[in-house]
Amino acid sequence: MNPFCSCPTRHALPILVGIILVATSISGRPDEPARDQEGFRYAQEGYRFEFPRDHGSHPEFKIEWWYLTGHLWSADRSRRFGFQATFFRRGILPSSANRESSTTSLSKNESADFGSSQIYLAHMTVLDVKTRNFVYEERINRNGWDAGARSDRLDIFNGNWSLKMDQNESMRLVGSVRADALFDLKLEKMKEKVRFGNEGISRKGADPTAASHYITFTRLKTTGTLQLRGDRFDVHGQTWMDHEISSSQLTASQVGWDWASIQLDSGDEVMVYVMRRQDGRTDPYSTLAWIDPEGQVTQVGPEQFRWEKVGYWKSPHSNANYPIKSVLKFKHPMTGAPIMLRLRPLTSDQEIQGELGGIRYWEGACDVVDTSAQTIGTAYVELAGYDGKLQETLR
Amino acid sequence: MPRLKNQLQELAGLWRQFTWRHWLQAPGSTIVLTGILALGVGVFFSIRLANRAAVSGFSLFTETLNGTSDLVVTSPSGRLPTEALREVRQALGNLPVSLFPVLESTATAPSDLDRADGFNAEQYHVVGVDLLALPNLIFLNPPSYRPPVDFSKESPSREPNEQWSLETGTAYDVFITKKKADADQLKIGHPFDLIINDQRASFTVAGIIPENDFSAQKPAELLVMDLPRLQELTQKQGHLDRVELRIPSGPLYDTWLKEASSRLAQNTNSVWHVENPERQRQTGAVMTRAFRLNLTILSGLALIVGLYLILQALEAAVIKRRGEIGTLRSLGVGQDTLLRAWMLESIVLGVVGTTIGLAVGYVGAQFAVGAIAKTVNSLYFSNTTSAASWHWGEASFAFCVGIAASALAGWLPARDAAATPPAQVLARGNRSEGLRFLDRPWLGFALVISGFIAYLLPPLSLGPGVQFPLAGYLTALAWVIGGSILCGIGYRPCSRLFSKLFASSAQMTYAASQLRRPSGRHRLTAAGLLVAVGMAAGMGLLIQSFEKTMVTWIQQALKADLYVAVQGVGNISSNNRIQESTWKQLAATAEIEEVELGQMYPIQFRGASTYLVGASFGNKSGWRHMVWVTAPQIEFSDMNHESNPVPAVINESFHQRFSVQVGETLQVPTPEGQKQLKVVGIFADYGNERGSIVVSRPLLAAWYDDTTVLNVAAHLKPGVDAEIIRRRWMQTFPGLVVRTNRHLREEVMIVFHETFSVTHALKWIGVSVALIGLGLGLWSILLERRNELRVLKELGMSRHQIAQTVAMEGMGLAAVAIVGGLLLSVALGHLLVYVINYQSFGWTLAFRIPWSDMLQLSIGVLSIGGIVSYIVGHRSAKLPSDQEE
Repeated sequence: MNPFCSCPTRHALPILVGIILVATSISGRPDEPARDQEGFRYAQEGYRFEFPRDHGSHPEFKIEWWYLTGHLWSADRSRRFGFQATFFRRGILPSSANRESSTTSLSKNESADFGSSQIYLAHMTVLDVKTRNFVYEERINRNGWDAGARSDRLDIFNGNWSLKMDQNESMRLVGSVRADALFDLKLEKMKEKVRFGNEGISRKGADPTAASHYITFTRLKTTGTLQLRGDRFDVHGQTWMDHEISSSQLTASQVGWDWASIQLDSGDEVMVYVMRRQDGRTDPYSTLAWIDPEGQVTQVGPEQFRWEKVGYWKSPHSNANYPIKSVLKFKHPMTGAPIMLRLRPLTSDQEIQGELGGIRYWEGACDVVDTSAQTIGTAYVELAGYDGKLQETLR
Repeated sequence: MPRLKNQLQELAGLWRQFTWRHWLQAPGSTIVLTGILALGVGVFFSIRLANRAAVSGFSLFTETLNGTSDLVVTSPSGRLPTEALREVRQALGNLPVSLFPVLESTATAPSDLDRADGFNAEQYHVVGVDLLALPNLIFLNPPSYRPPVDFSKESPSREPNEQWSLETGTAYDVFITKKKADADQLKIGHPFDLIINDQRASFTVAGIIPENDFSAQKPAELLVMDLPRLQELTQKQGHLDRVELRIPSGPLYDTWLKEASSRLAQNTNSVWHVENPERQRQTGAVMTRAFRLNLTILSGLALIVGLYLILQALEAAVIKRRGEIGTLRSLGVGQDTLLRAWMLESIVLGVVGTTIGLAVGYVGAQFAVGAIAKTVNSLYFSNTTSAASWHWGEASFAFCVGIAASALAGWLPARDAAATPPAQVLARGNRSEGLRFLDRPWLGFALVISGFIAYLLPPLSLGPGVQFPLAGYLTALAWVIGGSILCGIGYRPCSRLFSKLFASSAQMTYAASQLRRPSGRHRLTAAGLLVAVGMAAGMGLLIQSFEKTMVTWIQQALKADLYVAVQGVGNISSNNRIQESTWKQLAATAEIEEVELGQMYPIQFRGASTYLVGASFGNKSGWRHMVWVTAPQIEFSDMNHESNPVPAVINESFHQRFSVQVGETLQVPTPEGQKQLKVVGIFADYGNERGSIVVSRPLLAAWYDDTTVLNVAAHLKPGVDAEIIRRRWMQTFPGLVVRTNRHLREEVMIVFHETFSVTHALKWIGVSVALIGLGLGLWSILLERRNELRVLKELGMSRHQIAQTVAMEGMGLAAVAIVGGLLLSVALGHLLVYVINYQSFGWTLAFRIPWSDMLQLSIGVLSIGGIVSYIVGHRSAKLPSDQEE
């Protein structure tokens, strides 16, 4: 099994659904958090969020990720770029979770330099829209001198890549891709963070343990610099950031998922995912969430929206056939007016091969177009499981 | 243009009729000639290739598996703390530089109780890297890159039971080479045991490293494991050997490399510093430069002797074909055309011979590399080379040298041929004077005197702490050429001696008459043999001097009864150490009166590699019996006190390399920072040529926070049988090799002889080639004397008698060459011992003449020379006067 089989991508939704299968042994007294067989804690109702602590790492949970996607423009808006920066953490050994600790908890006999309790994976991508050049890099490290995350606040690093948050919930993201790109971005919240789900958890299945704690900044003002090949740009734009915490495994019934984060010019955002099952049906825990300009979240199930695939791209790298063009249809949660959002990729080849993570997927920057062909926003779309190897990889 | 075309056509016609026809008619001599050249080039090429392979064993891990590192961080104290990783990362800031920390160790295969030595135990080079991070290399290399081996912890291609473990306390998972897997029939998941430090450890095969197509095959002895597990296994938690840095390849590579170098250089401190890997390799190369040059020069000997032979053979061809040449000249073929035809012939021979030589050399290198690598291991640094890979640069160099040698050798005979007047047609068999420069004694004397002047010149500095005795080699060259010229003086006395001894024999009188009037070819033949004998005996003299010195040194320095080391501590860079708990148990043995403990660390001093050694200066200490160049003027017990500066003794190599004298204060790097050491004595030591600074071991242990030791020397109480204790200890501690004093002395000499095995081989190749040259030389001389041979036969001399005559003539030549060669060898030996060796290694040796070896060499060369000459004479007696071969 791949070390990140359970959190290959931003939403890694099968992980959460898979909890149904693995939640065979929930230990502990009623007043104690439920834990899996390895001792990792499940996401459960009643979790009391505390910030900035909960922006940081949760080593008592098995898996966790901080996932950022954004759209950037050069100062004169003549150049446009897309980027993805993801930090994954996977616990090998559950931590005693000393929440007072300022650094990653270490298990007994564990080397502080070369740890054995956590594995950190990270992905970075940069898209140059003008040249249609898409570059990506993956990275894997153990907890220790070159990778780690604080558990009292958001401060995570993996090699030279890092994400740090200050007291005002502003963040600094440093990333790079091979010898092509290097970026240093400041992220400031334009809207308050939201938590998807109810009672502090985002339920993913019928079993009460099939859940995650899901925190999102739907719109972050982004400024900074991007060094791309020989050019250096002062950039600005908007970023979406997810932070999910869970402990789960995948189910054999999953064959893939489609996910999108949409930032509309109106100030509204949409988060939507569709989980595809082996029998061809959409999983009932698929969800569309509408976030209005004030940050109010309204969620609907799969019966209340449609994700239509209208255009495909066959990857020359993997032969996977991705539905990169799609149309999202649903009703406005407040007014009931029909909405149709067309998601149009800025370029076709935005596929990540998953050399280290083991899962190949398409994570692409898109424009959002309305019925009158007007661009009304930006989006990032994630498509996983189209090479037919997801189950094999995740087994 | 038409003129050029005509010339080419003429040359082509001459080639067909003049050269090619002769080659077809007399393929034997052509084959021999080609073979000689091939042998000369082959020896030269094989030694160069093997040298390169042995030195390239000094490579970095990522290079072994994934290409060259961009920068390397090391510690001048030889011990890099893991905290340096964070400091380096901080210094690099946001730059996308990947850091690969490396820890290396050695391990040996367990052997049985009766193992006599640890020097020859099968040794493994264990490389510890962060296996989990290793797959990141995929994104540092060009997109076309595919990793040679899947190090992923949980790759989809691995079954759950094939995953290697991150956790401490589990089995030690290790990646082995395909060679090792094939040799021991190991598969993934299979267990095997090794001795690491003094403990037996169980390993599990986690993966198999395939062989690369384009690099030297990986030796079977390479093992790769997760770094923290190796730290745990070797009790080196918190320590690294180095950090290799990689910058992703791509458009910004150069910018980032420059920026990274600059940032790291600015942050360099006393704990770590950054180096270009090329510089690291150069450090390795510089360390061995003198050694490699020595070998190259020795291998060049075979080529020089080969050059003599080609010259002889082409001269013989000129003689054979002189009639034809005269005819051609009569028919109007110009001198220039003839010269070109001959040069073309020699160059074509050169191309064919050199090409074969390259193939011969490549095969030979595979055999030579082991011996050379062993020497490099013993003297310089650990390397795991076991095969030499093809190198186009070396091949091109050897090819050019071969062609140049054949062109040079062809030039004089070609000039001779072109100068042949038409009238020579009528004068077959007349002697040509051949090479006249050998008949110029004044030139010989001038060269010998020039050699004396060069003898007095200082060595050439090749880098920090590395000297090369260039003037010494020039002296040798001048004496070799001068000697080969002056040997002509010996013919007349030799002839007189023959005449006196064998006055009644017509054959002997005839042979003596030939030596009385030596031709240029006689001189050339003897000169080749003289060079070979002189060089061979000279090297023998050096080895003998070295051996005698070593024996004396061992007798004085090795006074303990038992010597204990971890298995495999036979080379200078072995990392195996004896743990504190073990040496304390040894010291607590009831029969032991006192133990001496030794430890050493490689350090950087004044930009060069050397050793910081810890030793016991107790009551029974071997230091009391050490051979001192300058004895310390303080009590040995005072060596153990921490003072500022700390008293230290240095060995002669260190003294020579760094020009350090007694009384000087040195700044030496340690993990505790720079220490001030005051030199109080200089001792003789033949263990390494990098040099050593020796301080009290307890002080060193405190500076390095390391209680392990490299070796233990034990003094027994009176009346205790060392062998009984040896066997008991080896039974109790299976990871240790315990030697009695006698065992150790024997093993030191075995290693010594192995170190010189390549030298011996080269020596005999040179002598063999020279003996072939004697046969060829005589053959060409007899061809010139065909008419005389006919007359001798007509006078009733039998074939056997003619052969005897020629044998005596050949032995006369050999005798002159031997006498001259032996005189030359004493001069060269003196030069090697007192100049070349001292300037290269800093070792003072006692001068010893190997009379017995010289006698054996003389008898051997004289006998074989006689036999070869007899065979040539026997064959030549069959020649009709007008036959060309």
